Amino acid sequence: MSEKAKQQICRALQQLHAATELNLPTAEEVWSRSEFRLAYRRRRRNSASDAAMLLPAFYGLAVVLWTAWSGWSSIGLLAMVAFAAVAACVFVRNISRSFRS
Amino acid sequence: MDEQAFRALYDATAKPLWRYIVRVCGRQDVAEDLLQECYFRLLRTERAYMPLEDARPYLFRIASNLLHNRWRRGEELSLEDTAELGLEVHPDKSVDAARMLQGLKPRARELLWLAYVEEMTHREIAAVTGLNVMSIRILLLRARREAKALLESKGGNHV
Repeated sequence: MSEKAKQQICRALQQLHAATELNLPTAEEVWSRSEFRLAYRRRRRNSASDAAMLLPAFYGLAVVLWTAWSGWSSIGLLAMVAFAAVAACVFVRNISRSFRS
Repeated sequence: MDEQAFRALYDATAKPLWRYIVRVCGRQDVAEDLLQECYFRLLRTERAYMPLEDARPYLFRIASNLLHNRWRRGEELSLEDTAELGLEVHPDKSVDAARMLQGLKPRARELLWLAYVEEMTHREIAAVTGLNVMSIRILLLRARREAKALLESKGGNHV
């Protein structure tokens, strides 16, 4: 390819460069949107890790109660644990909804 | 990174990055989202404090990846769509140049812009696009041929 053709392409692109309107968002806008998203990501990650701990904790408790079974008196407690486990599952699912952040 | 440092980084990098995205993707509305996404991705990494000379190619790399994701999803616009959406072209010689650029394949657009507007070396372009230097050489040659053919076929009086 000739040097002339290269210069023609270069000139055409430079014209486009000069003609491009700069309607870009301001630094403040980009900063505040990014900060919001970053804050939300941090909060979501923290909540998700706390909630994710609940399920194994309840599962452990249920195993302990199962092995140390002492008759009908534990049924109420087990029911409460089961309810809490289900609640934890729902909570974890709610806060770990996938979204583009 | 604090807001002041970010503003300095943004002032130094946003305009060339904006022009690159607008001209390669062909849409201002999309370019705004992509620009925002570039800075968000930079800020969420631990590399946000990198020096300016490193941040610039890093931002271009993010922008290139985002543009490629769009192309992979088939969100590339045809030339007619771009005209309908009113891609800003001034009523001068840049119209032919804009048509030429939009007539090229996205990869060719990207390479020509980086080489001739951003004046990046083949090595820098390779770092931005993730291709190897030899491929850049060949692809640029092909892109120039296509661009020349388009400029001539449009009968651009500036050629």
